This record gives sequence, structure tokens and C-alpha cells, in this order.
Amino acid sequence: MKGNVYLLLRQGGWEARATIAPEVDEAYWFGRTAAKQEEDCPSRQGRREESCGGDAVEAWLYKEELPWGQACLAADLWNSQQRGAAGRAGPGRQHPFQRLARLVAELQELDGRRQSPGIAREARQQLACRWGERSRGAAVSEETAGLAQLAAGLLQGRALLGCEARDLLVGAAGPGAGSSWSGALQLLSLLGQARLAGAVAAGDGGRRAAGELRCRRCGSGGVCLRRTRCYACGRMCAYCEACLMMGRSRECELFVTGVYTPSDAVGKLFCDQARMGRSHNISTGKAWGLSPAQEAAAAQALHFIELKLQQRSVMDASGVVSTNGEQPQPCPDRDFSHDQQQTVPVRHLGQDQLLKTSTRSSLKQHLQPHSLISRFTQKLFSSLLPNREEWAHYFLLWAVTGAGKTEMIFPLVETVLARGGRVLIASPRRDVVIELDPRLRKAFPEASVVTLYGGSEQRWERGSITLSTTHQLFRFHQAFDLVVIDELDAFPYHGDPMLHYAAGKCGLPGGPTVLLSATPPREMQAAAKSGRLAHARVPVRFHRHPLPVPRLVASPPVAVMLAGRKAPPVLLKALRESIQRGAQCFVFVQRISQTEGMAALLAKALPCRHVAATSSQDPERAEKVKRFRACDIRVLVTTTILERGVTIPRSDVYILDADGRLFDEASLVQMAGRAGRSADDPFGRVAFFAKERNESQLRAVRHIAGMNKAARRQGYLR
Amino acid sequence: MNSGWIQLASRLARGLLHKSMELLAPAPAECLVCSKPKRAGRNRDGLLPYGYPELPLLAASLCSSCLKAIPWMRRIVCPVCGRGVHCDDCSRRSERAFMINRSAVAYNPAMREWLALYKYRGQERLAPMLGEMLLPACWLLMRQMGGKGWDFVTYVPISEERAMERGFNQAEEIAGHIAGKLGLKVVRTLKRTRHAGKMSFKTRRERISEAKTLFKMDEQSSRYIRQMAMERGREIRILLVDDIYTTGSTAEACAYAIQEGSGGAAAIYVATWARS
Repeated sequence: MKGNVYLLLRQGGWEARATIAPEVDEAYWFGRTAAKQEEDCPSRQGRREESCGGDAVEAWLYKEELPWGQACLAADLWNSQQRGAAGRAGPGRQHPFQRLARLVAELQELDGRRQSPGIAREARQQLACRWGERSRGAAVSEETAGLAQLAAGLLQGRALLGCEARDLLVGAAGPGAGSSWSGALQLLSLLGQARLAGAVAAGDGGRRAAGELRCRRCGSGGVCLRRTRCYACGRMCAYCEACLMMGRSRECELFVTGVYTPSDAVGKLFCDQARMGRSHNISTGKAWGLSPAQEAAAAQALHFIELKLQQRSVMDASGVVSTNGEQPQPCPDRDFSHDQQQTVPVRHLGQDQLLKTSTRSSLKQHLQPHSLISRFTQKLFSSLLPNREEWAHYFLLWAVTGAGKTEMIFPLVETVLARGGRVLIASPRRDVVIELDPRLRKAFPEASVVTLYGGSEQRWERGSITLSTTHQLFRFHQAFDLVVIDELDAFPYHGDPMLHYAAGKCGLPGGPTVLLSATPPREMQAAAKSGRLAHARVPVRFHRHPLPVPRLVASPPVAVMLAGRKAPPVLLKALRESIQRGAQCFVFVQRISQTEGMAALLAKALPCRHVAATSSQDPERAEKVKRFRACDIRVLVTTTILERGVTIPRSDVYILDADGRLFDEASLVQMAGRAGRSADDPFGRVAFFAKERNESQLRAVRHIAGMNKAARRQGYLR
Repeated sequence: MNSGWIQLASRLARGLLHKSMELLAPAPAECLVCSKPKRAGRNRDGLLPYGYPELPLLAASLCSSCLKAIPWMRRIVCPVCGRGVHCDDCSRRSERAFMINRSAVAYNPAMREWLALYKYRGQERLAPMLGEMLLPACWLLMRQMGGKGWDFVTYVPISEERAMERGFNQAEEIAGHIAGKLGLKVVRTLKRTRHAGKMSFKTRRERISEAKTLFKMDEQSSRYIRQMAMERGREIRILLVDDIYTTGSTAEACAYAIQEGSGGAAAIYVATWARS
């Protein structure tokens, strides 16, 4: 994709702008239809008046089309030079356009495209096109304006590549939009309803020219970017390999982010409620049929969300959040800390923690000098001690397996929906998303639910509840009032910075994010325990029986069992007992290659014939899980692929090679969590079979026993 | 302002340094195609075709299961198009503008996936590896030519529209890697006269009749070939590279255009990555 750069003189002085449709800009600033355009977009009254039409004096278009990324970069560099020059003696005698032409020539020289950066003055003159008096006749066509209006609605909160935006508009407005889509997008960007940048760009999407190149969509940089020769822009153009599967993001590709303006009601009503001191959480809890533990946790989360939405609306009102989609300045936490301590019954910064924080800040100050080594250590320290602000907008709902996490988020969703807000519920796992869909539709029959996963039909729809896999979040930008992330420690979300980036940018700045997990990563547990991360723990299952505590059983490794074609008697005895009591048995092994062999071994030794094996490589996985659920299969040998999301009413869990490298504490706790999930059979059996007792097993047992203890202490157990 | 430029230049220099380091870096730890971790030091004998062991890049970029999945064209039945089974197309056609075609692999679903990953998804990282896969086919061609080499390499062009959309020409990239390995230069000889719809939606007859006028050689390359033929006093041997050979009509049309343009002073050999 290519674009142009132009210089615009307004009352504030000169500025450079990049455009994908110069004729739209000309008409917008100088044409006679400028006033009419304004009426088309009734929102944003205040901003438009200062920015539109009226005060534009003259403009110079650089006629040569540049690669889009380069056009953005040129405009940003010019603007930052201009700002820098304003502070000094004066911008110099050169005409602004000459400086632009030289800048572009220098950029092209860096690309190796042009041999001599100093092109003759005459040549430069030929590249210039002046807009002004003569542009009065220019006009934006009705078609473009209409399409822009349509696009404003469709693009709200979206972050799309140019080709995706085009497909979306053509899909919505018919093939006629194929020619005017770029004009429509440019008009939207002039009206401040969308932002156009390079899909791979330095710094803040080209706003700041500093910094290394990054993919705007997935946040990857460095080795994930690859430069190749590009026919579309004619230069060595970088593309992002990390998010290639969602369409190719590259330097000359357009990246469109549509502005989502939340309804004023979202924050205001909360303010009023907080002022009246009305607490609605109890009634809400009852309405959803929550257990006391669920209700208490949901109430805490509700308070947190309330507070964050209220803070955001204050920020909005004071104009801290800029409307053109830039990151807001972090809101000074101090302003609200008083308020927070009164209303939120979550744990707070203890004395020792304060001490640590102040040590850190003094450490940071100490390391200010800009030597390479000190900067490195600074980075190291800041990664070791995540600062408090990092977690300021997060709430961790730490609920044991089978606690009924989904029910707990219903009141949160309801409260945001009731105020016209938009909610996102994201999970790394596609099966979870598909399973949640009917439950949400049933719980909120009035709301429009959009479910997104690879290959989903509703790809371009926008609803008040969006249910999505974390991968689909790349296509959103500051689009939701409330973000809920389920199973945050599950593969592939855990440990993937790309997905974290996506999840971080899809909520409105300063808006609340609720994290759900039974086994939060250790650093998050530490943050919660020390009070930096607001959280609520639900130590009991919805049926109010304790979690089954795993038994540690000594047994030979699976490899030995398979080699000797003999399963140890302890395992067979345990399985026989389970079958006799009518339970379904999960048998977990480490390797995919071991599943079939183990299933054959067990089938031979057990009284029942219904033994099967499945893994991620098994095309019939869904079918086998279904048969397992229907008791058609009694013993299912599997890998960690079934560690979450599968609920079998009466089930026992046997984990072989529990001392294996692939089974960590979280994984063991999750697998153990498959047992005893229903109220009819709350005491399922769990056993870890291993040659050795290692740290992971002991930690998992401690984790489960600790939760049971907490539940007993709080009186949640039946 | 100058300091800003110095910064920008130094950033660029650092970037270049980075790139050069990348070239020096050891083989990637994961398979280029399936992204699974690759185990080093595995014995990969017998996985490569034609008894040529020297495809270091291929062995270094793929895991052994992907390496095993490559359906090399080992058996050649049709002497013209290099197909592994009897070939109606070639026996039907009496006159041909190109000499012979040899393909590296059979176009099975796995190869279709690989090509799609590169061509449609735009995973350009695969280009050197795909280029290297074509090397055995080129060696085979050379053997059948009696050990004579080519004068230069050329490729099947794509339309302007497709180039804008895709950003690269897969045949050109593969040709570039082949030429690098063979120590030849790549010459851009052809251009596409119009944007033909997707070939895969057309019947055989349509393809053949339409393809005839699809390509054109420009004046400059026409002169270049004629002059070269005059200087060397023999016909010019050209290696034409494309990603896939289906009916051979694209290869035929390109060869035809080159013959037209050069006044029959060229002998065209075709190397394609896959034979469907």
C-alpha cells in the first residue's frame, strides 16, 4: 500500500500528515463540502470544530506516492523536527516543503533507493502541489461520506489490517465500496473516529519515530520481523512472522484502529451508586444461585469493577484519556487510594511492601545515569520487582477447579451490560469458548452474544457480549468496558507475550480486567499474596465438599510397564475398584506415543473392555470424549490435553509418571481437579503414580490441602 | 537535526549487523514448516533424493518427520514433463516450445499445504528451503542435457495486481535461490500481458488457448538474448523456473513467448517445484 504526505498550515503552525486518499484531505480542509461532512458525523462536536476546515490556511502535497510505512514515518519525523526546531532559534529560512522533500529523499537514500539525496530544487518543486484557494471546488463524494458513516459503526474498537478493513466494508456495503474504501477510512481518520498507521512500525505506531520496529497488531519485534523485497511498496519491507496466520502484517500495510466511545452511562451510573452507598451485590448473588463462597468472591470483584469504571469515567471527564486512541497517561493512583481503601475489601499494601516499593524507587533513581550497564541492571530489577501499577487494573478470581467460575462472572457481566457497556470473555481454549456460548446466551437472553474463534461465522459482528479465543483479540483495540480472561494459565496463553499484548490492548485504557484461574502462575500468586494484585479466592467447589486430595503411590515408570507388558498390581487394583463403584477413570500419561500402548495394556488386564486412548493427534478426540461422557468408554488414557475443561460427573483420576518433567504443579492440580466434580459424587479418587516423590507432586498436594483448609476455616464446607 | 540522522543511521547499521548475525547463527531449533522442536544430530541418511547428500539447508531447516513427508519425484516415466506416470498431455502435443520439464516433488496434500504457507500466507522464510528442494531436479536436468549448463535463469512472472496483493513472486524467489546455488544470474525476460483469473478454475482447453498470449518478452531482453546467441555462436540455454507444473500450459506459453522474442535462438528447460 502506498500513501502521500502533506504539510498543512493552520493557526497552530505547520504540521505534516500522512494520507491514503489525498483528494479526501483536500476536500476536507479546503473544499466547500467540509461543513456538510460535519453534519454527517454528529458525535464529537467539540473536537471537530477545532480541527475541521475553518482554520486551514494552505497545504502542500508531496505528489510522489510513498510506501505507506515510509509516509507515516516521514510525517512523524517532520513533526518531531518541527517541534524540536520551535524550541530553538527558529525553524530556519527553508520553506517547510523543502525540508519535507529533503527528509523523504534522505529516507529513500537509507533504503538505497536513490543515489543522491540532494535532488535539485526544480525537481522538488515538481513534487509539490499546493492546496488553497483553488481547492474550493474539491468535494468528498456522497458515496465516500456514506461509506465512512457505515464504517464508523463497523470499525468501533476494531484493529484491522488494510485488507481486512476493505473486506469488511465491501462485505457490508457491496462491491461498490471496493474503490471508495480508502477515501472513507481517510475521512474517518480526519474526523478522529479511526486511526491509520503502519501495521509494522517503530515506536507508538509511528506517532513517535523513536524505537525499534514492532508489529502493531501482536506487539512482536526483533527476530519475529523479517525484511523482504516487497512488490507492493518497492522497498525492503518488514513483515511479522509471529501473527502470520491471521493475515500478513507488514510495514507498508495499513493498520486501522476504530475508536470506541463507551456510553457515558457506564461510569456515571456507577458514580451515583457509589455515592448513594447502595450495595447491590447481595441481591445479584442470590439471583444467580451462587454459593456463599462464590457470592463473596463475586461481590469483591463487583466492587473492584465498579471502582475502576468510576475512575475511568473521571479520567474521561478530565480529558486524561485522549480520544484518538493513544495510550493515556497513567492515572495517578494516589488520587483514588483513599477511596479504594474504604470501599474495596481486598488485601492491601502492607508496611513491609511499602518499604519494598520505596526501596525500588530509590533504586531506580540511583540507577538513572545512562550507562549501558546500569540501564541493563535497571531493566533486570524492574522485571524482578513488577511495580504496583502493573496490576492496578487487574482482579484475580482464584477459584478451585469445579468452583463454578462461569457463574461467578455472570453478575459482573450483568452489571456492565445494564449500563450499556461491552464485555469481553476470552479463553485460550477454543473448546471452552464453544462450550460457554450456549450458557451465556441462556443467562443473557436479551444481550447480543458474538462468539469468535478461528473459522467462526460471526467474525465481523459486534455484540454487547463478545466471547472469544485469545487469538482473536488481535483484531480489537480498546473495545471493551470489561475484560474477563478465563484459564489465563492455560496453553497457549501462558508464556506467550503476543497473546498477553493482545489481551492488554483490547480493554479500554484504565478499564478493569478480571482474570480467572484455579492455578495462577507463581508470580501472580506472589503478587496476590503481597497485596499488589487485587484478588478473591474461592477455596471450595460449588457443591461445598472438599477437593479430593491425591494419594501418592509408588510405581514403576510407564516406559517400564510398556516394555515389560505388565501394569503394576496397585494400579490395576485401583482401577478395578473405580470401575466397580461405577466411576469413569482418567489415566494420564506424559507422552502421546504412550497412550495407545497403555490403553492396550489396561484393556487386557481389566475386567471391562471399554478402554480407549486419545491425544491431541487423535482426529476422533471429540467423539471419544463424548463416548467417555456417555459411559460408553470406562477408562480413557490421555495426555494433558484433557487436563481442563472436561467435566465428567462421576470420575476418578490416575496420573502415571507424576514425577515427569511435563507435569508441573498447575498441571497436576488441574488433572486432579477432574475428580469429584458433581454433587452426586463429590468424593472422587485421585492418585499420583510415580517412582519418585518430587517437588511438583508435593506442591500440588499442599495446594489442594491448603484450599480445603481455607474452605474449612471460612466455614464454606458442608 | 543532524544528530537525529546519525541516530537513525546507526539504528540502521545495528539492524544490518543483526541481520548478518542471523546469517551466521546456527540452524533454527525448530522445524520451519511445523514449528516443532527439531532434534539435532539425528541421522538423516536416506531422506534425501537421488542419492545426493548435499542439501544442507534442507536438512537444517526441517524436522525428520517433515523431511520424510517430502514426496520426491524419484521415478520418471514421461521423458518430457518428468511425470511419474504415463502422461497424455505430452503425447498429445506434437510441437513444444520448451525442451523438457523436471519437477522436484509430487504435488500431494502436504506439499499443497507447504506451498500455500509460502505463497498465500506469505511465510517468505520458506523461500530458500523451497529453492533448495528444486536443486536435485536441476541436477537431473543438467545430467539429461549431457552435463552442459545454462546461460541464465528466468522465471514465470505474476501479474501486477497479484504482485501488489502478495508482495512477492514465488517463482522469482525460487529462481533466485537456484541461480545462487548454480552460480548463474537471474534475468527478468517476461511480463504478463493481462491478469488471468485463477488457473485452477479453468478447463484444459481454456488454459492452453488463453496461455498462448498471456506472456510477452520485452525488447531489451529480446536484444540481450539475440546478441548473446550471436556472440557465442550457439543457441542460448535458459532455465525457466516456476512453482508448479499442472498441464504445462504456463511453461509452454512462457517458452513460446521467449522463442518468439528471441527468434528461436533459445533452448528452454523448465524446472518446477511441484508436479501435480
